[in-house]
Amino acid sequence: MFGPGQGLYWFIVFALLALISGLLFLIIPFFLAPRRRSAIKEDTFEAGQLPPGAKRIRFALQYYAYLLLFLLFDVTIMFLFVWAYSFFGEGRYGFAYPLALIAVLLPPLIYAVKLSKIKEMW
Amino acid sequence: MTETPRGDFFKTFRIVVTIVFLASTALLLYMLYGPAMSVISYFLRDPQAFLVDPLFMVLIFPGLTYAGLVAYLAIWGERKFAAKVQNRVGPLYAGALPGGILQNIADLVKILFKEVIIPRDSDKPIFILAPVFAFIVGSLPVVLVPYSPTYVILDFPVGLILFFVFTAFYPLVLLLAGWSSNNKFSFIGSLRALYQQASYEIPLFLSALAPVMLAGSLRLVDIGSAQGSVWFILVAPISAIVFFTSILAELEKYPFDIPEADSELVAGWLTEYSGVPYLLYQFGAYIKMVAYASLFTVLFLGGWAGFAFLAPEWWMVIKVAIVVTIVISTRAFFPRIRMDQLLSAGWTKLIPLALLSLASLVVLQMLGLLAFLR
Repeated sequence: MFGPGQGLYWFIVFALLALISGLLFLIIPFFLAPRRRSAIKEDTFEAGQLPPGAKRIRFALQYYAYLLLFLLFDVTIMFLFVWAYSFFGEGRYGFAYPLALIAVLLPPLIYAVKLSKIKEMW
Repeated sequence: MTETPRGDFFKTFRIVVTIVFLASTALLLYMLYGPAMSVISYFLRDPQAFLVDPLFMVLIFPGLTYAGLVAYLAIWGERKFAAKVQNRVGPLYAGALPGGILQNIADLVKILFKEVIIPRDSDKPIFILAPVFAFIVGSLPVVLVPYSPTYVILDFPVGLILFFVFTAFYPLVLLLAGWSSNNKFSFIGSLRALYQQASYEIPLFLSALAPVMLAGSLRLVDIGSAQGSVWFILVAPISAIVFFTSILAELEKYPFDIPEADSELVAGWLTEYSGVPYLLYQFGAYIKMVAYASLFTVLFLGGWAGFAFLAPEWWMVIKVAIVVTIVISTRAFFPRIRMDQLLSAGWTKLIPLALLSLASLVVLQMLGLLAFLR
């Protein structure tokens, strides 16, 4: 049964409270704040300049190697959590499994860090 | 650039937002009706029981009022402390004794009367809704952190992972904000925020593994209760340091405030925001700081462990206040570092340090020195 005795119920209440207070704050300035539109005010801000050229330019992701690394690590860490959960229950050599996991991860880490230092790749 | 007909779409958007607002308000009132009735029925007989009611927890103590109050004091304290260190005065006139403590309320009133400027070329629906998403995502982790075994709103069996799930949404929201602003400063700022928060998630997770190993649980109440005798910061100090550094990066606090670097990027991904949306972003970020500070307290500083003359919740509150003070004091002490320095420090120093800490725990366990925790 889903009811006030459960944490999930109060989690939904909290989320709704956050949503409602956020939307409420957005609605308030419709009644309080002035709204005088002008072309220059609604233009893109560019530190006092008139914005030149196209706004949505495409440019290289500078630290691309790090994002690849992130994909690598973020998945693996969840397995480490499962291991850490039963750290005391594994006996003497239970540490060997994560060690193997980390040993597999280390060469790509070193390679990608080396890759990220090459400025020509940016 | 091709013009898209936005007029009709914007009208539909406003209607949809109104419907969502009314529907969620109705749902909230429906969900609060039963609990509120029961509180009214027993309140006069037993006012003490209200203090452990879930309604009290959501609305007041570990919930919205408490988090908002700590965020409020943190904003004031950050301004005052940084000003004192930099030989300025800081907030002074509003509020009497601890100078300028009402300054934030004055600022709130000012911001509510400010015009909300929406750039012509922005993606308006996303541009307007992104602050609300940021506020929700920033405040959701507060639900999960226990302040004592009784004062926890959602006692989830894998609460630590759920906490990281909520905080992992934050860079996505920033990317939405930066892209929808259609501004070069915003986009570069949000990309930097994405890099920083995504990169520092890895040392954050790795260092959070140490308390999980020592407590043998992912439930935050169990992790806190396991530290009755020894705080985990004493068993795994390197993990605690790595965790704290990663918190600073996740919160864009001062040595790592690269996404909002005001001397390079105007205000980063906040450049086009003004008035109330800006307020929502800042308030959400500070509530997120409260959540992270309390998570650090639960994982490493013993949670609610303390001497018996105060209730456990009060120990937790005191420790969280100390952690928040340390987090906001970095603003006055550290210069900003460069983006590539930040990333290479995260990947080449913090991750090996976190792994080293885990290895040290494995060695301690093999030598049988961790038996006192069982």
